[in-house]
Amino acid sequence: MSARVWAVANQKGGVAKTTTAVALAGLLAEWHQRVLLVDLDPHASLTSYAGIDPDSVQDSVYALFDTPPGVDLIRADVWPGIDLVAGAPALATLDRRLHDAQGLGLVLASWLRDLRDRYDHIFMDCAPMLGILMVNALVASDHVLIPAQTEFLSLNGVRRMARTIAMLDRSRRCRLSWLVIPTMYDRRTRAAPQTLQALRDEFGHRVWGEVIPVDTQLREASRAGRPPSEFAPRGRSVQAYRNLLAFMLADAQPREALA
Amino acid sequence: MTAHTLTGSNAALMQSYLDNLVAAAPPEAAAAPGEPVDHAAGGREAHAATVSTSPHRHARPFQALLFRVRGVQLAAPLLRLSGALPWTDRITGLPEHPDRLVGVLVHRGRRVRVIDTARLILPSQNIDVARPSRHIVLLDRRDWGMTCDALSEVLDIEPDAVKWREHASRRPWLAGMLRQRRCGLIDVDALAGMLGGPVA
Repeated sequence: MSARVWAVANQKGGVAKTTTAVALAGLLAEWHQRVLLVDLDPHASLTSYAGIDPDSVQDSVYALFDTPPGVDLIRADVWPGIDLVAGAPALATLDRRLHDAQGLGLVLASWLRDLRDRYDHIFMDCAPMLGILMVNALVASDHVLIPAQTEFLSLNGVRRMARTIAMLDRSRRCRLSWLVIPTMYDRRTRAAPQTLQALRDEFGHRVWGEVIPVDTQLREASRAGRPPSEFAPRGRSVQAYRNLLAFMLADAQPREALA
Repeated sequence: MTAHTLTGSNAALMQSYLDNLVAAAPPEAAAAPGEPVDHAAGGREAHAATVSTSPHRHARPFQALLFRVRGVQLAAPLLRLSGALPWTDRITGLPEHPDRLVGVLVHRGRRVRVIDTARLILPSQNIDVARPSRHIVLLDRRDWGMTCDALSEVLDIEPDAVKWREHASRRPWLAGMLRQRRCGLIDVDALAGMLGGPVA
């Protein structure tokens, strides 16, 4: 067994990155897949979602950059079948403390390599900014999921992600697969279909063919601290995430070497 | 995609920053990122243990990919597949191979044997030779690919929605029938067993 590793990233905030990570993890856990969630955001929304106070976390992802490997950072079964590596506000200090020291982008990949046999899927919830943590996530991942709210400001976030991935591909001499996921789609608005069309015009086949609809049950699920698939298993957004997961598992390919 | 082009100095700074962060790969990691690693196959073994594709009834709901083979609709459990490719001319025929083997395709560094699904599992009178194959559905471990005309949809399947095959029959690849869609559900393990070992 070797886990598939997914980075959930966008250089814009508030686009449903955390919700997407938890929703997909919850669905996979229902299928008896073993899932690890890694919170790479100093805001630690994922950690909060799991009912853990980020300010009280001592053993966060930060430790990977601060202590020798071997520290057990994994909190088992924060939800059934889902383990978590917590985030903490201290992550915000990493870039300032470590600058861009050579090879620092490989820390997470090296650590996860030893964990791939323990999980079926690993999701990394990224902060909405380019820095050491996001580079680590992109280097460690097999695929990148880019949730994009269907409103016009989100286009720039996707463009920045596309540019970052292209540059990283050049650095790594390989091609990382990525998929844009239109989220919070509200068909009652004019902006949503227009933005969706703009995404498809600009990014073509890299945009998932369906959408995650706006759904208050997602907010309620996070408030209740439960994965959406458990909170509202028949909800329309959960069904959409189910379709997304099916597409991801059937279609996503690992990174490939550049000629 | 010109709108998100950086100015020269910004681009150079960013590229330098990224180059530096990923510069010092540990020796054991050096070959890994560019290699076509088969994460999909390994990652599904645990699932296979709980959602069996054996002829016996599945204990839990599962998802299935529906596709058409020479006009006949079939289904296969999604998690026992590793992907689907559009038809390609890069398939190399093999000398003295049986009709059911179309040839070998090198995909992401692996040799995938492509089988003519219709000749393997459909009665000969059902084979519409005029209908071209347009896709190749890759089985779990990517050593085998099945030809098909079209990919239809992904369905959530409740165990009760399948009429499970109770006894061995002349069609070991058939796990059961999807009642509403009236189409066969493929037992991927049994099908792989019919095909034999990995690519030589």
